[in-house]
Amino acid sequence: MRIHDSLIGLFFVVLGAYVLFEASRFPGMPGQAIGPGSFPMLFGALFVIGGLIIARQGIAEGFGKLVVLNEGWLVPSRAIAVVVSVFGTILLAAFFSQIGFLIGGVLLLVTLFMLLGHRSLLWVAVAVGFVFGIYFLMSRLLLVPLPAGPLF
Amino acid sequence: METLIAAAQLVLEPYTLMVILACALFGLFIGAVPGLSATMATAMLVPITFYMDPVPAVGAIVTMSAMAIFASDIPAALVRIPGTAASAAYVDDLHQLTLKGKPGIALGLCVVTSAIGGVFGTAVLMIAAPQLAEVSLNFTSFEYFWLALLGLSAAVMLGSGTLVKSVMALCLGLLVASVGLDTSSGYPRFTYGQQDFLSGVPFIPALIGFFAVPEVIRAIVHRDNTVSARSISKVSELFEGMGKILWKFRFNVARGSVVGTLVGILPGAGSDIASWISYAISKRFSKHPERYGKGYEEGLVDSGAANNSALSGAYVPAMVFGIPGDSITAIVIGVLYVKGLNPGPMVFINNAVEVNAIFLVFMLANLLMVPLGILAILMAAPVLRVSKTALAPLILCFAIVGSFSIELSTTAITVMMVVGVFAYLMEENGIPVAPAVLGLVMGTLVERNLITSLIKADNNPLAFFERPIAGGLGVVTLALWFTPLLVALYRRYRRPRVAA
Repeated sequence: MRIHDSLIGLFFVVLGAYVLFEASRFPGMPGQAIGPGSFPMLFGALFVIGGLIIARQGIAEGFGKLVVLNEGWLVPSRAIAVVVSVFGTILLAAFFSQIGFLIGGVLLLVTLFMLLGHRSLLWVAVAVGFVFGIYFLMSRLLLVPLPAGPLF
Repeated sequence: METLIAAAQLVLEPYTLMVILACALFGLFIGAVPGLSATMATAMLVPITFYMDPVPAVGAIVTMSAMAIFASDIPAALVRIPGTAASAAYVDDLHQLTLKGKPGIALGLCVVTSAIGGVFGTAVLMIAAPQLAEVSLNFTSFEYFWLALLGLSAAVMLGSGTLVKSVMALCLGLLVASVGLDTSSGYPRFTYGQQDFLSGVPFIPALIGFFAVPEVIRAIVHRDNTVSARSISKVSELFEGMGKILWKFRFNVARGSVVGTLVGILPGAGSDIASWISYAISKRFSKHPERYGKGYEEGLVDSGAANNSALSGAYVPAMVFGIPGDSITAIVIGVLYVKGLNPGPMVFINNAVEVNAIFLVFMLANLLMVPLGILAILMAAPVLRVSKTALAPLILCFAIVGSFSIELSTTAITVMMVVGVFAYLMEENGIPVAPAVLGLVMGTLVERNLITSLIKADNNPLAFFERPIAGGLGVVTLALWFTPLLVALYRRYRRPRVAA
């Protein structure tokens, strides 16, 4: 996924301006010219300068498409699989204690395997075996309190 | 001597040996599957090492990464796809040797030169690190500031992207590192009232995000090329005529090991850069540069030794100053802190046994590389058929568990995913991830030493150059910044005169 340099440059300029604004509001240390905002000011300024250079280079190259997707992104099942990976993980994190790792993990894995073309029962077994294996390794051997959810 | 014996006892404990063996096999698998990097595997290992004693924990990472760097030569030779970036420099020579019907000797040379390079790098680490530590006992915040800044500058200069994009990546790392309570004043920065961020962005989940999530997304998005590889069935194939070749290129093995170790010691430059530099030097001084890339063993021998020696070399600045030599040691530094082996000169005094045990693990891992490497070569064909789209969901699942287990917080999972998506977009757009990781690891170190030094010096910048070592490091850092600019100006000045 290639984003045009002018947009990347703009992102860094805006980010830098925001960092400078926030850092300027941090209180100074008593009796000192420096404070918690001094270091962020430094890299905030670098963001702005670097962003301007990148944007200038992008504009000099000319405007084609602002975002170029490579071949894989144009295959719907693969693009959906990425979306499921990202948002499925964030959703699982949000409801981790309610769903639990066992049900949530198996659901995420089976959905991804299906989308990626691994559709036989073998892959369902792989998903169940892997999630339960990891759960018992982490929770029983390493004593990590992974939420089991409604199953246990 | 007593320390060494106590260290050997720690290493030879059955539990430690079992961990080393298991991680060796894991590393060989990761290296042999094209597209999975040693750094990603290191990030994934951290949550498990969290629950181990210090020596098996660091030993696990050391062994796994050494094996992965060697094993990446296997797909490079058999299917012309380097397993990790460390084998990319000589992939054509390796594959051409395979096409000439000599895959055995190609991989045999790789395993032996990797082991020699690794042992050499470890020897340098064992000798140089304690000496440097003694010198650095007198370092103040001025020296540490310049050292950290030199490390960050080298990471930016030696990185894979353009200079400006590398600087932006570094700034992103510094921004993430500055989240949380400011170390000098205790003021909360960029936390937006979130309690979870007061102690900063969770470090290990962020690293898992940086290295694992982009590989998961790439494995899903990019086509899954199933490859059929030629298999090697006899051990004798690996060693046919090897003695002759090694003797002929003995100087190259030594040079590759030295170059690799030196590049490894440079902060920010890892095995891949060591391998490229060593290959370029080898070609430059070869009597037959025209044979490079066409199945010639000379460059292979240089680079094969260099990439593994760089791995050990990278631990020198990491152990002595807490400044990572590459992305893997950036993660290791985090593990060392968690295990109470705080990197710095005092670790060689306070934790001498553990430090020596880690050195011995290095030695053991490099020696184990020969028998286990041979095993991996013989079993390579089925491993190369493993589908990456099948592995990607499993890696994601493990990344979720790993992130959660460090902080026992679901925020860590979200941080891992957000950082990961960002890292994917960065890499797709030519913004290297390594400077961002170094910025994240070293941000606090640079800032703390800068603020302390400024307060000590009453904001006088000249004080940064008053102490001899600090002054020297400062001059080197400034030279690193301004040399490319001066060279560019010189060329611009010369061009019209030459044209005239």
